[in-house]
Amino acid sequence: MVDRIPVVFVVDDDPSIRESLSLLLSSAGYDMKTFTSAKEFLESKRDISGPACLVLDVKMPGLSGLDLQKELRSRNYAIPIIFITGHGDIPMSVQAMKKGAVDFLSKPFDDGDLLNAVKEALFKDSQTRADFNEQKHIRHRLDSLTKREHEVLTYLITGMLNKQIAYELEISERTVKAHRKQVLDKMGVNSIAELVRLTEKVGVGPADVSF
Amino acid sequence: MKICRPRRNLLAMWLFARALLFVLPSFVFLTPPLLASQQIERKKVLVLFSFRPTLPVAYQWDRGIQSVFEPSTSHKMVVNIEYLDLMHFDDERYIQILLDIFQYKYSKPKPDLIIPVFNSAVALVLKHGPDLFPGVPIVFGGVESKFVENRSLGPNVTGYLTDNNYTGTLDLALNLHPDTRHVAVVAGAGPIGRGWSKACREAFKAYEERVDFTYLIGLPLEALLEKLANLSAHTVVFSLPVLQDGAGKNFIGNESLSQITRVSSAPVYSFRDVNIGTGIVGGYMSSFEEDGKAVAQLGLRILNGEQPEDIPITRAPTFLYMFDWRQLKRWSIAEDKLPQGSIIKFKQLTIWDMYKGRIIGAFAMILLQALIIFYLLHQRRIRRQSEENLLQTEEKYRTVADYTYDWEYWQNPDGSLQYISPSCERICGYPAQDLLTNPSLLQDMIVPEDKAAWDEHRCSVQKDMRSEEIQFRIQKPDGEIRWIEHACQPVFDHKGNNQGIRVSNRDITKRAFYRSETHKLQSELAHMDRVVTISTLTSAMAHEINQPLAAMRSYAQAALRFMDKDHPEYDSARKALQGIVADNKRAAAVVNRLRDLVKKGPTHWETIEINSIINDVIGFINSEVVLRNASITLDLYPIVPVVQGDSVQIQQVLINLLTNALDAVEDQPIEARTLTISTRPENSNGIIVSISDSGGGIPPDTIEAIFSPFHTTKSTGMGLGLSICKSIIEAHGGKIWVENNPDGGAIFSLILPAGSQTV
Repeated sequence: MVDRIPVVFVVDDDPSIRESLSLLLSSAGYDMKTFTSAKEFLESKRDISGPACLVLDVKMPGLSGLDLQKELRSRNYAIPIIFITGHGDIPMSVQAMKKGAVDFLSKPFDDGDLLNAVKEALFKDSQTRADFNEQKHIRHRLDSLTKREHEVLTYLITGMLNKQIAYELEISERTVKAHRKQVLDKMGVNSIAELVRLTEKVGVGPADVSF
Repeated sequence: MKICRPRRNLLAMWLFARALLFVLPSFVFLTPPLLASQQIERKKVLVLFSFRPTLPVAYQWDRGIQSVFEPSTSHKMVVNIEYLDLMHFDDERYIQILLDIFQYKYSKPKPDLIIPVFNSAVALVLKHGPDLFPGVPIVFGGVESKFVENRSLGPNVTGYLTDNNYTGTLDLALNLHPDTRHVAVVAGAGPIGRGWSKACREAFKAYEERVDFTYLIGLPLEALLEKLANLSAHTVVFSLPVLQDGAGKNFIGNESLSQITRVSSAPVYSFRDVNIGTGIVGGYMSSFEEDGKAVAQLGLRILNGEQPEDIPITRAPTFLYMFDWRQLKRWSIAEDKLPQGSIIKFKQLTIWDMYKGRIIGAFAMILLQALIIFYLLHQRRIRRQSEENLLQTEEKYRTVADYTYDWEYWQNPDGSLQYISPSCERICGYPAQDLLTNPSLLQDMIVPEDKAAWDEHRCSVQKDMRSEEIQFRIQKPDGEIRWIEHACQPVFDHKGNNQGIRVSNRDITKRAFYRSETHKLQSELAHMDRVVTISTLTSAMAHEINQPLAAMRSYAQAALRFMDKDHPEYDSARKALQGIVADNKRAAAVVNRLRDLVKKGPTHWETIEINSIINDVIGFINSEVVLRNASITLDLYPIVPVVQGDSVQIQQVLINLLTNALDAVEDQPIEARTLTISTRPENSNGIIVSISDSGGGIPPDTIEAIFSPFHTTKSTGMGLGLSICKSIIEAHGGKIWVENNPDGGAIFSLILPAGSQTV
């Protein structure tokens, strides 16, 4: 998963900042790409297959950094963001952090601060990507279940015994056992505990059973 | 004695004469008729009535006779009347007594005329008269012709015959009641009744073919009345006076007749006028009074010298149709059916008949009064209407006046108030009544500072008689001050006479307050605007400088990284270093630009009083001072020279220095957070302003660099404030410096040249 080279996007209207940051990041071995405005970033064709993060200036002509953050959220593009600002004020930074910014750095900042933030952001992004991939995988497996198996699954993750499930579904315990085996096999897990973990990740809830 | 007697006679005569003197004039005066009658011949008349004096007939006769004799002027008439009552007493002895009495009473002198009335009396006089009063003429009356037919009358006898006319009344009754079939004839018992009824029966014989006659004669009264009460229809009653009934009971004629008429079921007629009023309808009447008159007139002729034998005995002609009006009504007999010349008695005149004139007058009066009342009511209504209109109008205008929001009044030329609106209390706090009673209260409430303006205004209005407006303040009873906008104009009536002045007082306190507030706010805003310039400037500057600074650090650190690599990347490091140089230049340009801005920025040169500027600044920064629990002590030199400069920039410098000072004392205990601002003149050509704080002072090693740009000891500072302050003060031709106070803290001082014009 980490086979792809991480990329750092820098959006700042100030050319000196873009230039100095690209030098600093490249000195740390990151691949990076700079944009002069939020608009340019939104309109660009970016390779998003690998982990990435965004270093974003708060104050820019046109769309501000915070506007861009909002826009990306609305596009479901969960790229981690590190804000940099000339004169950061607390309300603005709180707002940004609440919306999921990784860090908020005041210019001028030390290289260590930035590089740590970038590292964290990239890790977070790769994590997100891994989660996403796993979910995709789990969903794929869930889709392979028959309707009845899916139904049995929702009972299994409630922690009910086979006997109880059979009673609920008005089928034989034997049949429940057979379904159970199929579900565990298809989902690629060995225990109900594992199954519960997987289904939680994709938001499949237990059957609504009223005792 | 002989001598005495004549003397006594003389005395008596003298006394008599004296008495005459007293009595005579009044005697002569009081009794002229007596004296006059002495020339008239005295005539004595003896009237002899056969009946009692109590009967109605006596009265009638008496009146008839007296009506002739009394007014006679030719003779003094002495009329003696004797009522012989021969109907009740007719025996020899009674007659003899009567004759003796007459002899005794009237023979000396004997009467000049004797008038006997009715059969018994006439018979008596004819028999005994010539013996008793020989030669005295006799004039009789009240006898029927048949009475004299069989008698020889003496030579000196004459008289009137009075025959009852029965048929006249019967004709009348039959005429008035054409459908009459029965006639009931009523008469009493006794010789008179019998005589009358006999005569009547004979007289009515001629009518027996036309109607039935029933004779109710000599019945006892009760029986008679019973019969009369039950008469058949179409009956009339012909009643003679019942003087005696069949039971031997005597009545006065009218007495019985009244009872008869009362019970009779048919109309009752009779033939003597004396009976009218008893309830009879009427009749063809003979009149005792008329008979009396006729006889008396006959007697008068004889007294005047005529001889009785020359006057033939004649019938009395006097018959009249007489009716009782009430009975006409009772029996529904129309008056127009009555014969001509009928006398209607007891006519109850209608109110109209009796009071026609008065009624017309009264109605006219009422009508007139009604008209007058109507007119007056109309007038009153008009007046009320106009009063009401007037009232409404007045009320309308009063409402207009009373509900004005402003305080309105009308002042008479003499200073008293004609009108004052109730709103005055709202504005000035005094009720309208207070001002009405004491108009001078108005000028008393004006605050002393504005009194002069008021007096001037009063004078000019009174002199020039034109409208004018002024504004002044009044003090309300509770001490509150109010601004009044006073507008007045003189009032003139239609003749052009001045009627005082009409005034509107408007409470403009709020307006004045807002105006002053607005003014204050505006100036504060302007002040704020200027004062925040430094912070805005530094903020903008921060961004401008921050960018190259940030870039420079990144470049530098990148360069270090490239250099520190196992295989240093010099090209990249060089590139980074070139970036540092470029951004360093960029930052320096920013600072230069800032300095230029302060130097050449738009300045407003004016004369500045530094002490007042300091006070302004204190006012502005005071809240901050309080917030930080610090205190500022002022040590201002009272008279300092003015300086020329931009007050706003000077304010900014002072604020900056004070803000720094406040930061400096932040770490001190609250009681030790003191700032002091002092001013003092310097060699008469400058002013030194010092701001000392009780903070930690300035480290000696940085004291030199403190005014340099980007030198800061504060974590959030840019290090530009003092640098700008320095620029400003130097632009004003002054100097700024700092030293540490030996007692602790720092002292920032600046000197501004007095009256400096420009840099």
